[in-house]
Amino acid sequence: MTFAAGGVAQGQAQDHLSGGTNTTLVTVSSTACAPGWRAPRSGRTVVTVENVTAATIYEVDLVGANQTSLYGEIEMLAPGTKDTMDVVLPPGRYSFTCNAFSGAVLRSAVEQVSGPPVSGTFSFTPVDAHQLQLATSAYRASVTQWLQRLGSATAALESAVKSGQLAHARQLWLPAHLDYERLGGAYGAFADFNEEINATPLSLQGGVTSPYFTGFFALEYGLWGGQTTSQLSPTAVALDQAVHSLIAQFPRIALVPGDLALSTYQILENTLQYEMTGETDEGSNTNLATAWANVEGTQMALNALGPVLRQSRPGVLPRLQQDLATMAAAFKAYEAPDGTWEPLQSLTTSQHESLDGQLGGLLGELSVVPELLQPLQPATGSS
Amino acid sequence: MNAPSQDPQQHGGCPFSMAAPAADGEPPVRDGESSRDPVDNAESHRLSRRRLLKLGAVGSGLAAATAGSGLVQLPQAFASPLSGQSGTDGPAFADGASEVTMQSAQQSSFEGEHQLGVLSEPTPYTSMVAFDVIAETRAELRDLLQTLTTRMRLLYKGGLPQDDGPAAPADDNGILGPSVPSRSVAFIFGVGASLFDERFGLISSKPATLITMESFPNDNLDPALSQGDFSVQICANNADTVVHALRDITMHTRGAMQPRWQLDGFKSPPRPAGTPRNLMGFMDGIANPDTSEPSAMQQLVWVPQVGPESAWMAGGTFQVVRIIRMFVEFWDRAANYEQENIIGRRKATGDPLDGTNEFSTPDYQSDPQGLITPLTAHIRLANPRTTASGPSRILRRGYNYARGLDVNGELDQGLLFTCYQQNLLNQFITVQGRLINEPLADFISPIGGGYFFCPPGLGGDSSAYFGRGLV
Repeated sequence: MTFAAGGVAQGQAQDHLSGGTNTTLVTVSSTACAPGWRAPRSGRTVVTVENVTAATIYEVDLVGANQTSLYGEIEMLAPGTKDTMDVVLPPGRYSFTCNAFSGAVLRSAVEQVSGPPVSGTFSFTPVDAHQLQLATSAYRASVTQWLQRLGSATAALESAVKSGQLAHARQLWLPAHLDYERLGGAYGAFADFNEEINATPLSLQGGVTSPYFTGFFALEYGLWGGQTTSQLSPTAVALDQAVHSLIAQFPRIALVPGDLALSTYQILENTLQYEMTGETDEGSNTNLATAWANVEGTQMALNALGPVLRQSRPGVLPRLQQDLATMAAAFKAYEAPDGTWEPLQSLTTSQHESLDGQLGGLLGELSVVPELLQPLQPATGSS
Repeated sequence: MNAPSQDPQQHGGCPFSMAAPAADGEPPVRDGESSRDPVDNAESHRLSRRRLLKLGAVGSGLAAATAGSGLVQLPQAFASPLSGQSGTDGPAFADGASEVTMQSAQQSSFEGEHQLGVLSEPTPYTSMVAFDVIAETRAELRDLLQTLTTRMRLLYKGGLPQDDGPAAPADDNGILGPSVPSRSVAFIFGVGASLFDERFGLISSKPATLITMESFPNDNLDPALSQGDFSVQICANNADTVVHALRDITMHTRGAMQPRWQLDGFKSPPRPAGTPRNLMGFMDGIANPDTSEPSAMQQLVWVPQVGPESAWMAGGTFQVVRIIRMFVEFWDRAANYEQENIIGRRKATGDPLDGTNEFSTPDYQSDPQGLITPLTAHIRLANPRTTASGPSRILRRGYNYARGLDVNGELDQGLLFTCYQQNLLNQFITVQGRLINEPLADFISPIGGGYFFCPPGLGGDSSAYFGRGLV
């Protein structure tokens, strides 16, 4: 919903938007989808949907006459209960689609919504499940490439630690870590590997002293915290082993399209929460570099999903791509020519505010992406 | 990383299984189920915003406050009653015409069987303050407990403050005017496990079931907001009444105990009716045990005469305090239906997802797969409504807090959760164990709190003090 109820007088905001709010009650059951429903006038309408049957209704959609534009959606409506959909309908022809417990798909009569044109309409086209699979496969291909690069980077890091080159190991730590920090869209699928490779001590009982404190952050903690390379050798070896196990396993690890869609904003939710607060810093002062890699990781997920997103809601993708590029550049500006990064703590208040605010604004835009990437329900029948 | 969800409305099945062949885009198939059955249809389009990325935490920080040494020179005023008028016990409440009464459902006397504040209805304003005792001897600890009780009694009863003469600073801070309104404040006082160490020879007196709050898997406890020898919660209908009482207590106990952490909270009015909402916008506390049912309170809240605890503790209760940060910006970016699936209630009305009003009892037995109310929904995990889960119910007394900003400008808001029970392990800890890795965990972060034992009331004795069974 895109209406902005900015002031305290919310009713006025609604009136301003759509000339008043209509209300409509429709019933659904196992055998009838919104029987006898009467179309409201154009504008904002709160549709109350009541399930009058003894079985759950899986989904009720309010769709445009083209049967592809979805204006409102209710899922899992329990027997005897009501829920509402709050929609803004431009003039046109609409119907309800109901997915009953039996698997049957029922359709209501098509009704005409009349009245003046309205603004503030939100609709989207549910995407084709096959296309989502293609997007996920495209993402897999790019993750596979980056994993190869990551494997070389952790191998080099391991060898620097094992040969006692502390300063060199510090230099190699960041690029290796950034290779991994781009892969956030797959962390869920990585599961335990992610814990081994990139767990922060913050969630571990005992923190940095926990025996489960392994991977990049444990290495960072040691490299910048005064440990010797021989002390750190087992950690570096274990990290490289974990990465190479992951590389070997990855072809057999399933990626879930829904997770990929969610990652388009969740990666940066983490960035705002953990990088822009410095909570994940274990001594290398590279939160801003990580944030930059996280933006690139978001771009990676979004690019894979691009074709599907275009189908769902044309026009969303170019703007997101542009704003992500702007965000990436804003972080990248804090990298010096020698590859070192400005510590988060060195930012002035206005620099910090600018990055935090841009990131928060971007997250607001990105948060609609998972909604837009819902697959289309199979249509197998009508009433 | 969260454990794979058992909830078919989340990602279902075992999407992260190492053994699964890569089949990008195919919903995972569980044993005995076709991928085309309605459950998997639900999975395939129901996106959950469960955070699948790295776990993180609100940083730890300051070292625990240590009980230092300090001479305890309790001022004379310690034991002196407010002179002049004092209220009489009864339900009347005089802190302004708009005030609600401070009496609880079962008791209106400060000197009753239980501490008055425990069953009092939550008030619009509260402060939860933890203290560490810096008194050094058992006798000084006793003085401190007597002083605390005396101040709480005087603050509750109200009246004209004592006049210590022109040469002394005033006994009362004056925030509430020349005469303290009667019955305008309630207190809940508790002692933490840390009190029972060698300092006061109390090791052998420690309540058998009182422990120090440990970190649950999704916790990020900040020592600067956790634990304490004492907890003092102050509840009132006005913010200045709370501040007045806190100032009074700290003024009269400086040198004997030192504030360790504080969190202020507020209770929202019904919006528009029914149970007040938390800062996630959901009604919170709907399914509380009925405080007007003495038998329910005996079964769930009050420590019984016979049990694992000493007889002096009977009529007391165990208090859990949890400071639960909510990532409100993140929450506000999650779709309404998803929030409702995470909580298990309708946001607008508070109805359970299978119910027609706020107080409908969810029927989970008719929904074994969690199609209506996800198996991982907060209210379903917290209170599965089974015979076995009945005794683990707790009396919740949550307050909202909004305490400014995080370092990155994110709003620092959440829930000052408190609850009361007769047994920590069988009740709160059991409930919390069921909530580990619930989808809601991604949007919240418990950052502080503690476990405390709230001693029984004063049993009608106007000279008694809280914790008298102890020292």
